Amino acid sequence: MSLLLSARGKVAGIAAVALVATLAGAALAAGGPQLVGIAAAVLNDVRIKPAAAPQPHRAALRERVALADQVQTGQRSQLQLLLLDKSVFTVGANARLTIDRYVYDPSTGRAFSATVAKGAFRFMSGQPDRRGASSINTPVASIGIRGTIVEGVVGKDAIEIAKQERGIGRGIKGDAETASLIVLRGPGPLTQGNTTVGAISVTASGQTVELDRPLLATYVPAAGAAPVPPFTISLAGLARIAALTFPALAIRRTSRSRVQIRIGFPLPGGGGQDRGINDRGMDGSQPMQPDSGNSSPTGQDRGQ
Amino acid sequence: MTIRAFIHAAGLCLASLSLLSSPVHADDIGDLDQLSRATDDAKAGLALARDQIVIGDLSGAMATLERLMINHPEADEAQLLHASLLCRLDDRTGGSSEFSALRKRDFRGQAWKDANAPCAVAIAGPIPGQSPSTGTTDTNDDASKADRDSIRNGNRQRRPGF
Repeated sequence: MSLLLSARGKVAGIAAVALVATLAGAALAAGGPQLVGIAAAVLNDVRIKPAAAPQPHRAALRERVALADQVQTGQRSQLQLLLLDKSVFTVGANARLTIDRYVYDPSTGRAFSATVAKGAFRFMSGQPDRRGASSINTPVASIGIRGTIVEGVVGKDAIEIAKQERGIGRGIKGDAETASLIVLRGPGPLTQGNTTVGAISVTASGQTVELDRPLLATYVPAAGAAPVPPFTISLAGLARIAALTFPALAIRRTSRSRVQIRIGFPLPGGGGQDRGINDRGMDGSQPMQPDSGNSSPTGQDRGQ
Repeated sequence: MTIRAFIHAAGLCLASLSLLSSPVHADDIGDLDQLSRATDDAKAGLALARDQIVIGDLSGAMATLERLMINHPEADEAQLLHASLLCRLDDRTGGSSEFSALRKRDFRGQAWKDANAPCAVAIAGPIPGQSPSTGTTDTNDDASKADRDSIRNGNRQRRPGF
């Protein structure tokens, strides 16, 4: 009997060792952190801080981006993050983005959650979302996503835009760190091609509003506040969000108009309020160009 | 080494398998690299976007054009196609807004006309916020109407940026 027990112990031990060895091999084959996509377009100062790294490094074009990597953009900078399911996250200047969770199976779709702590963003679904399984979080709101193009702004720019929107009641004070403006861009019910009609639900302080047609927006001014009822964002507000998300394009269009215009809100990159814009850029520096140092396909050292 | 150790190892196994439940294949990443590389050059990127539109991959085309708008903000044709695509995705007001930031004289007449076609309904038709069936609070209809009138009148000076 004791011989039998001893034999069972040995078998169990061998099996355990084999399992651990198999798992170690599998983990090595998987290449460490879980990849979620690549930095498909990088403009100027974009930094990535892997979860395990003490310091961020400058992002390279086509660099692999992993789960929990913190992406941060500087002034007049921009990143397009192309996820494995071909969904697209674009962040503008002075933004901070993290992909917190990402599960993708080509046969069943994709589920993810991301956090935008600061700045302007635009998200476009590449695959059908499992209902209720994907969300974008800001410091004060959670955006549930269903096959959607959605834009948003977190921080003081959200307050500036909100002040000009008639759909938002007067006298609402926003928190410059956390105020969140969220806009559904589509696709609308008459969409064409391979797309599905988009919708989002925005939840804050236990209250949820549904946005179900393009240009419907909501605003959460601070922690503890509920989302304001859906309103149609003005074209001026839309233009401001676009200028924050696509700073290079905004500057080009403004400078090409060949007129000195005065703007009523700070453009991305720290340009001054009510400041003249000219061909040399917002702050009188050279016109913005993609960072040549980022133009080589490097930074792929995190494996395939 | 006992059955307890085996159970412990099995637990480790399950935990690790859950980490590997979303496999990343080289092809996935390789596809993304290819898409990104295609927009290093403006003409190649535009060609890719047009191909994507032909096969109905409108969201893919949007992503391509938005990369072009980052890498090549001078590529007016990409912006024209982007504005047109917004309308095809039924974001017609947004598309019209983008058209208003472009200059017709920068494009061939037919190209401008073709790109504008999907947005024509938006410029002539009702604007979001005036639908009686939405049940939403649209208190800025006046602002929207002013915006729409501005588009009709071709007034581009009012809007910086886009």
